[in-house]
Amino acid sequence: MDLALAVSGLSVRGDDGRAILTVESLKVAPGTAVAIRGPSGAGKSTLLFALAGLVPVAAGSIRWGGHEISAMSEDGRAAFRRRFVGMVFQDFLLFEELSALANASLAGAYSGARRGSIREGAAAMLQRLGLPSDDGRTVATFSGGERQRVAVARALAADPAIILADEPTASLDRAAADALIDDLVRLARESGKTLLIASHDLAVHARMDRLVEVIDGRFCGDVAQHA
Amino acid sequence: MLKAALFALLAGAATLALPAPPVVADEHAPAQEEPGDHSHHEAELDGVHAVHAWTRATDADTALVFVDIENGSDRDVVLEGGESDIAEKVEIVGFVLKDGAPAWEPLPQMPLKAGRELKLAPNGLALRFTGVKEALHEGDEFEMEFHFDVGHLAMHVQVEAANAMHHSHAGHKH
Amino acid sequence: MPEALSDFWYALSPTAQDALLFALLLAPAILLGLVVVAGYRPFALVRAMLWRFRWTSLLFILLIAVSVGIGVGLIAQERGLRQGTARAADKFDLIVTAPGSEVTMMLAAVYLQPSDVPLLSGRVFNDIAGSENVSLAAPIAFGDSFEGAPVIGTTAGFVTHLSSGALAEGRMFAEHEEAVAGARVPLAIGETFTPAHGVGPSAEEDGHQGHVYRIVGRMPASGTPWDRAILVPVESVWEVHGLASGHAPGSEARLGPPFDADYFPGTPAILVHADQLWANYALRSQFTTAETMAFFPGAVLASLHALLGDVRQVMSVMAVVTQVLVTAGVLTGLIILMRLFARRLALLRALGAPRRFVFAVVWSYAAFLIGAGALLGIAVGFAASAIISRIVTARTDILIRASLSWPEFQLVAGFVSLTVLLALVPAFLTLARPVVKDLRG
Repeated sequence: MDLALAVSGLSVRGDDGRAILTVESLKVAPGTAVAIRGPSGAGKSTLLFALAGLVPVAAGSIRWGGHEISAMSEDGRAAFRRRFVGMVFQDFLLFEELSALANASLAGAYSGARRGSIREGAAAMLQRLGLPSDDGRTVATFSGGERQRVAVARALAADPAIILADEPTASLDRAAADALIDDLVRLARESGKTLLIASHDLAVHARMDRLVEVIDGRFCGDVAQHA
Repeated sequence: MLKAALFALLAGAATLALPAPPVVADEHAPAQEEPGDHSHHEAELDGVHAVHAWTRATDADTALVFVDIENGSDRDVVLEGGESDIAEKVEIVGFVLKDGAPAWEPLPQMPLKAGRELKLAPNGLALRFTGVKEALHEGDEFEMEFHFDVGHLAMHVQVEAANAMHHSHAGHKH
Repeated sequence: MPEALSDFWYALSPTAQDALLFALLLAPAILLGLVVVAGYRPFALVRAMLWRFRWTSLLFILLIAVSVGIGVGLIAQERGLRQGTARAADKFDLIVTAPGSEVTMMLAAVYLQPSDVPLLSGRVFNDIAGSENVSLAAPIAFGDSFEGAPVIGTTAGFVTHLSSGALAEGRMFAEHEEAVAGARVPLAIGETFTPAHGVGPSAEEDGHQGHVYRIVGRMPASGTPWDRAILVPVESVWEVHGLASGHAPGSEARLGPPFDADYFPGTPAILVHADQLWANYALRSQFTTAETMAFFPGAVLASLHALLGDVRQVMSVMAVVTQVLVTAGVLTGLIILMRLFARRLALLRALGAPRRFVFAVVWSYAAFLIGAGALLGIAVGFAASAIISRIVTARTDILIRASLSWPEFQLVAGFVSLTVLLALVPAFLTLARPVVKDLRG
């Protein structure tokens, strides 16, 4: 399925009406891995959330292939995320009281008929990420690296075409960060997923196809690697 | 302490809940009434007087009819039941307390000695109507017949409020 | 109500009506639950939330349980009191006394709460005893006591009637100085006692010096104040007070009816028993005269019960208001709790969970608190009723049993339906929260 990203003339405003992000134009071919860099608070996360349809758009359009998400209803955008998007966050956002498998297959609780395949996908992902698929332990006992891998398994369980990750390595030590980013990039590339990662981490930038930059709420386009 | 409180509650309740003792003079002595005022509300058969037949408003299938009967004749009579167009069945019932819950048991007959009075009243005797065909509304009246061994006595039954404990006397000019 | 429906309703047995009413009251809660969670499996997340906020959840459940328990306990207690007092009056079909307050007379003759009351003459007693259809007429002569236990003068026929035909132990009194004890009188067979004149603190302990009774039999337990009573021949009560024996000179040794009206000192109350209910009503009509009052303790009780019921209803309304207020408080607490959980709920939205799923999670959590609180509340109410019943039984000697019945379950079903409906509010409110802001924490 062709889910090329095309953003044009995008403007996102904060609660006070001030523009917090503008994007003249951003195009990403399907299967590309893109790093988004920029100072803290510049709008990297806002860009990711906008691409996921989580923030209201003041002007412009966000298209994923034939899906104009800026024109969809809230329920329509939720359905789009459910079907096509996997998300990873800086501090994992797991349900600490649940097991790795229950966390990774969370979408099964609200995805009706796809419940079985999501659970299988989650179990397979956990295994590929070197985690026990279900030993009854809750994730509260896991290390940071293990937790983020559970979050990655959750993002990939429903086999989405797009992965959006917000500072996925920022809470991990160097070794865990490197291992995680290796896994994430490998799994995304294997099945031709589009991967967008907002990150400060140079090691992340180095492993991606493209590096783009957001400064002061303005999308500034591609940056030459190793610049 | 608690014992005293319980009995005090029961005793205090009495003054509020109980009908006046039977020795109170009958305020419906004929001398106090204008002629014809109660023409619908009293009936007589060979010295047997019935006065103030009443029931409670209900949309249920059963209704209890109460009345005061006075045997003014010089012979014993027996109340055997009754009939009415509004109900399928009319029978005499007596109140009993079963497991703390009120219940009514059918009685085959109710003798009434010469010169005596029989009060059909709440928590006592009543005529039970079963298969009541229509809802009874406060202020309605319907006809019924009391069956005595000496004959039938026709009279009007007044429908009182759903929670009434006695016949209303006020303001019923016909 | 349409006729076909009301016909259907009245054709049902009382149990079926109760069960149906219960089902109808609970149905909104169940239907709402089915609609809210349809297609989803929110329970793992609800479990996770319950565990995360376990102490708060437990507190909320306890609050609901206590408020529900008050309502359940009230209904159960009122029924227990009704049934207990009615059971204690079971053996007393018709009581004849001098005209006065039916309640005072009933408390004295049935519940052995003594009063000074006028006496009925021997002529009246013989009139009653000799009436058609009377199978038992017995004097109930109260006034004396022994260490707090009322000493009642009566006849062997009454003792047999009260013990349903068979004593638990020993035999019937056959002499003037013999007595039959109630089940809980602390005197063994063969022991003797001297009655005091009067009852309670003002009783004159040595008023009847020289008169000694010996216990020869014991009645079975009845769960009534009579379990504490000592029954003696009425003749001996009269003799102890220096009165005639009820029998003509020459036959003073005789016990029980017939009595000689000329030597009958009087009795405060007479129990009348007829085998047929209609005969009881005929006798009441017959003995409602200028010098006698005849009443059914059951009917007097029913009037008192109606009042007790009114009091209970008023208190029930307050209990229901309390329940709803407590639940509203809990649901308000829930809204605050949901703020603590807001990041996880926002996460669900970010991952693409439908809004209705998030709604279902929050509602199910609230519904679980309400359901668990309601169930626990039934247990709390029953336990409270059991404890109060035990205390009342100990103090009044009227056996009060705690039980649970349909009205309590109907109340709880109505409560659950109403409050799970209220729980839609916090569920709606969580949907209004900003996803991205909550996600960033």
